[in-house]
Amino acid sequence: MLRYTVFRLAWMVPCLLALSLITFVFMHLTPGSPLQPDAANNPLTPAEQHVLAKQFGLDKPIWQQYTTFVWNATRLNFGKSYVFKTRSVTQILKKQTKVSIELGLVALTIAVVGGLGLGIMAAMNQNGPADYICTFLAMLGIALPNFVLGVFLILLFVLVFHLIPRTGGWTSPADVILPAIALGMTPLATIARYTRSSMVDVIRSDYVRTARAKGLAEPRVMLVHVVKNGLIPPLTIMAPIFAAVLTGSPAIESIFRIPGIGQYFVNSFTARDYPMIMAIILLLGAFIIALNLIVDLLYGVVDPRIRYS
Amino acid sequence: MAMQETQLSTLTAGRESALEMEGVSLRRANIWLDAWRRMIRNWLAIAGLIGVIGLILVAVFADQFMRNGGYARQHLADHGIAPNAHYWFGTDLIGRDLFSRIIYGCRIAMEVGLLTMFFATIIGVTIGSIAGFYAGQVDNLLMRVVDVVYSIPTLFFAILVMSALGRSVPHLIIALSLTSWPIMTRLTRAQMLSLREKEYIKAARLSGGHSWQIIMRHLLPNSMTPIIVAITFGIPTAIFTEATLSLFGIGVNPPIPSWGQMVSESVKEFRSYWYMAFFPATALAITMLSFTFLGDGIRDALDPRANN
Repeated sequence: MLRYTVFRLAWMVPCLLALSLITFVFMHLTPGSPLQPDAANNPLTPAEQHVLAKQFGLDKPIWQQYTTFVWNATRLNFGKSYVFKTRSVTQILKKQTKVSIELGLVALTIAVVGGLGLGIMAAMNQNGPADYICTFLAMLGIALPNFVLGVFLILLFVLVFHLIPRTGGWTSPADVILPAIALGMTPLATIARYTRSSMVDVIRSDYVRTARAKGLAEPRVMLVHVVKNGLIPPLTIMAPIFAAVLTGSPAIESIFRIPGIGQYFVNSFTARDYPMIMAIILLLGAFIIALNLIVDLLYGVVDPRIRYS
Repeated sequence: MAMQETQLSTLTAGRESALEMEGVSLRRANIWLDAWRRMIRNWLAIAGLIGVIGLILVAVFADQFMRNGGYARQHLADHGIAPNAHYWFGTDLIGRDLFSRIIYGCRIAMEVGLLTMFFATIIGVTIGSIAGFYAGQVDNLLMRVVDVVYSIPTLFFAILVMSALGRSVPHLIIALSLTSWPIMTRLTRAQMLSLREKEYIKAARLSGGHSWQIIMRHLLPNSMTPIIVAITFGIPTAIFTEATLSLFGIGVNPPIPSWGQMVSESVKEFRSYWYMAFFPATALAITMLSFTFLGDGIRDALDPRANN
């Protein structure tokens, strides 16, 4: 187990290196450049452009720009943003990632707690009210893209019922509720569906019948035998769901005007802000790899039959 | 060998007809037929199937459904008209017929969803088969490549690729295919790894079957279940991602309509022009639900444990 973890952690390095190379290549394939030397109405004179290119290291050959980037990145130095010239990329990301992580964590909590709870309740009371709520929410989560749901939530709670004073910004707890629900709804639906079907399988299994036959109390049967074993399949989809919540945030951040990492990514792209683009993709890549590792290790905890070597 | 087979089949055929004469009806076991029988008993799956067939028909014959001069024609005098007998779904802010745009948007959505999964499946299944069949070093190398692609944040990467290539439907399909194949690879590989130890595969190897022959005739047909299910769920995911990309204005190129773009452009005016967002959102919802119900149905139908 320890050897496996160490190996997987070490493997992150070549993975991120490859990811950075792919991003770098595509980024430079994109037409246009930060200084737009070919633009007809460029306010910068050629001499000024030359000075700026030199300052940002854009005058060097492409391969040298890449090796410089990698060398600096190993010390977590991603350079200065071309757009926000006075702040380093690391400073910007520290602030913006915090917002995105807060949003993501609240959304995930809603999705995991709501999804597991609803799925378990639906399985324990098949064709009862909880089951129908579960099916209804699952359909809603599948049918509506998160940004559409976001708009409907704003209309309903802000404009029609006035329950929440406004949207936009990230200062009060009220700013968190609607975007987190919009972002968490689809994952909640997916988790609920998986949990329900896996619980139903387990409830019908022989060892649960045995547990009941030997006279165990129903709560004990449910907690010790059903829930514990029924959690393995939902666990397998957690990593893609965590990743989906993370990468699904740009749409939600744009609709709710939240100053998170997704907004910055889209903006830095239109500005060809190379250091920002590289840093954001690498940060998210590292996050996804780490999540996959955590979920893989969790399998071993939940299902002792799985052994890593 | 060939003679033996003929003898064997005449023998069984003779036995069957003999049994049938005695009034015993024989039910031939065929997993696809059984799966089909199980599926048509599931009304949600049938609703999904009808929905998917309907969507594909609308996509194929989209040109026949065009009204009021097609999806790109601007009736500037009639902009922002609510649904009426002439403009069934109303017009948008530059006077384009929303009914035509939604019908044509169906073709775009189907193109993006089906073609993305087609390419993702070809790449994913090929690599997954090779990795799973040869195992060992080959598997190790290929799966490390998959690890890298798996770590790519899908939406962000699609934004990157779309900016590099420029917006158009084919570019969208390329961008989405590039990030969706690793799931297919993982599934195929896992199936192959477990199947390659089975006795009948060992027998096929012993009797001198070529590697590709064993993969195509024995391994792939037996790995189809999870692959088919993943395809049905992958299609709505691709359409979903297209909608999100269009939200940022980097999806399809105007005036080609995209449901996602239509929703995102008109959500701001929702209170004044509800129909501009409502109809494309509904079309999107119908598509998502149809494919998901069909996928659920296929999964349940192909799972023999759900036989009761």
